[in-house]
Amino acid sequence: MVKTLEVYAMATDPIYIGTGGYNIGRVDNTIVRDPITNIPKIPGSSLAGTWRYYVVLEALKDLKGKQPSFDKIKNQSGNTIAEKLKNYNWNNSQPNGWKGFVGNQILKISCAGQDDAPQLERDDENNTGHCGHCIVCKGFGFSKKDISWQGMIFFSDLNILFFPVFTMKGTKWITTASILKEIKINESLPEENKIKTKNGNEGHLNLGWLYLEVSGSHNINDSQISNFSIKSEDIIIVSESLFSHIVNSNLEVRTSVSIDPITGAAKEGALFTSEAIPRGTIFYGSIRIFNKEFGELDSKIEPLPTADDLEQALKDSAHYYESLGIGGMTTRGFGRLKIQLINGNSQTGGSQDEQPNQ
Amino acid sequence: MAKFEALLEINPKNVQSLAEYIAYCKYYFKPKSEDKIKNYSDFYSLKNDFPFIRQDIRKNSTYKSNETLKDFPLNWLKNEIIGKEKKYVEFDNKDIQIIQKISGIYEESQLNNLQEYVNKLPKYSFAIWFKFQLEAPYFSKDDDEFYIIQNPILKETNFKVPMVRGSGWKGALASAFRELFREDFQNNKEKIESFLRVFGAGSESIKTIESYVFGKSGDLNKAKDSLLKFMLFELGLKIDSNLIKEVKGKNNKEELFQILRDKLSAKTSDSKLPSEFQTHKGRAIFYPTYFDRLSLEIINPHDRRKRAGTNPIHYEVVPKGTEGIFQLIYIPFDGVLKPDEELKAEAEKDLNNLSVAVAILSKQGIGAKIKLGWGKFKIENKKVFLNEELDIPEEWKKCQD
Repeated sequence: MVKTLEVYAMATDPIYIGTGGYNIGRVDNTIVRDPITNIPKIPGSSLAGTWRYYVVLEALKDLKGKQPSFDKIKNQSGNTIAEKLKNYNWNNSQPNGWKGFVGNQILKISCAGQDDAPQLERDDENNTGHCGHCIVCKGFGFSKKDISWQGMIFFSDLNILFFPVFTMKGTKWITTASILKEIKINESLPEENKIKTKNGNEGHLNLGWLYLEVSGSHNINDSQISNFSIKSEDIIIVSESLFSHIVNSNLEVRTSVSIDPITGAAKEGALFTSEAIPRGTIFYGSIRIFNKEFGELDSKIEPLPTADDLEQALKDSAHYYESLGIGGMTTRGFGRLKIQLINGNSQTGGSQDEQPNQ
Repeated sequence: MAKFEALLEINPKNVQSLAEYIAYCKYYFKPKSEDKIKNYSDFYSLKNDFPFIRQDIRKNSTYKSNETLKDFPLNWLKNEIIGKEKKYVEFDNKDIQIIQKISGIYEESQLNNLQEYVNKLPKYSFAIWFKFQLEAPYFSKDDDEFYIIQNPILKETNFKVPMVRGSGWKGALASAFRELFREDFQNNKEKIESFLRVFGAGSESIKTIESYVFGKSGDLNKAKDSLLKFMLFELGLKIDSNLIKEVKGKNNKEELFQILRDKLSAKTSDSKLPSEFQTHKGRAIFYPTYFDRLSLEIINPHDRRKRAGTNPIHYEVVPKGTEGIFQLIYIPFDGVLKPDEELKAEAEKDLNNLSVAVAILSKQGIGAKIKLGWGKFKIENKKVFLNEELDIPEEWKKCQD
């Protein structure tokens, strides 16, 4: 019933997801953090929002020019728009797979982003917002005056799995024993304020400005982390209490200033600092696709996309993260992310390890 | 002392990796004393302060008498690490390859993968890729304050590889692009539109104009000011006082549109703000560039009266002759609303303008101190990656060729 996809992502650029408003910190523009651990993260809502847009973009790439006008749909037989859509045939040009989903005939760019006409009925002719019929609206949810539908795709936050830190031995990725447990690797904790490396014989190592004693070796091997493009000898396990400190002191902090094109010098009052999750950080999270096959569904919402279709839609559009990215300042070297989706176990009942947090 | 044991492993005679170089520059910042090397009574106390020393250098003429401890680490870097003959340190390509891979930059041998990636993007997306060689040193200042050199070069935060940031490329290329229409903007309206498409818009002034045009605010004077600000500061146009008077003299929305139509945009019809002039994200996505060499440059300001050097200022630079990769991807993500022919025409114009802007930029230079001629580069092996047929600029090659 619930299909789980594991998400692994590597930041190919620094990632800036701002908190907005005013926050007291050492920089002007602060980023989103987990309130309890104080570790930066990518919120599930940011992921859901961008992915919704990228699925629309990927779909329209193929659908462009093939979609009928709204009048043509209205002339089809059937009592409701949903029925008319079902009866429409694509003139032998029906796109394959999820792109040919019934309802995608009226998928449009405004199906992404926030609905700008939630006060209208779904089939209102002036409906400029979410269409309520296409795979995007049904997969990610929509809300109109007459009908609302919770999405079928549930996004978790992306949390930091491995975080890059520069040391005298080159760049190393730090993690903790409890984080490793999330990806099913069992490792014991290092002693308080000490760290564990693959070799365990470095003596001392500097993680940014912190100088820590190496207390032993870990047993992670390359095959356990084959999903990520890092090597096991570059992984360092630190204690839980240090992790947040090391992460926060090795964030990418930038001082920027705006340049006046006339004088060519810095503009007055335009200096600001911002922080970002650095390049090379590896995140993990999960996406759950809830296949709502209850049998007694409101006929208005039928047909529903299958979990496989939605999964394929997510997979086909994930490559946009490698160029268009996530978060702020994406056209100037921020926000690019390489996303990998791996099929987890389909859960058909019993307990779930993770609680949905959206 | 025991805490710094790991530092002993650095062999400055043979610094090869970036990590060793950075560790040296960062951790031998101290001491800041004016004492001299020759005043050390014995080798052991000297070695205690500078554990990287292998031999007693008090008898070495290079360091014996004249070095204060403050300058000593820097001179050591100059003489022993950078060396007198090569004049730069070259790092193992491995460091660069890792970070390039993480950043999604394609090496010359992997260009097929870039083509494959472009194929996945919406129609009329393209990528520009070229290799360049610096014709002068490149410098851009890093935020790192604890460093052996006063002016460390910008490095990637967690990989410490010298770099040009994506934002650096974007800003520099935007300023080179403005040269295309700066002087004669009234006849280059299409280039202004192309500029806004490629780089995006969304400043305060655009937003003020927008809110006036869409009737959210009725403040005409503010809109007029914003329009002037926009022309001056964002487009960098050469405006004369007549034009300023003309703008100031406008009394309503229609007349303000007249200015937009006459001076800036070929597309403006009646009273609709063209999409280029509305807040939007730019279509071009810039990638960073990484370099594999480091060197030192010295600027020595002269005393005006005595005509002699005063205090030399050191800069850590990427030396000339170093090669780097420039990569840009153009995605007309807003193009799903436009007919294909229009999109094609736009992409062709944007590609052509970008190629001219890149050529201008190579003469202007990137980074800091471009007025000293720093940052100039020579473009080699220019390539364009298309997913639909487009007319490409001369001298550029498609991936398949």
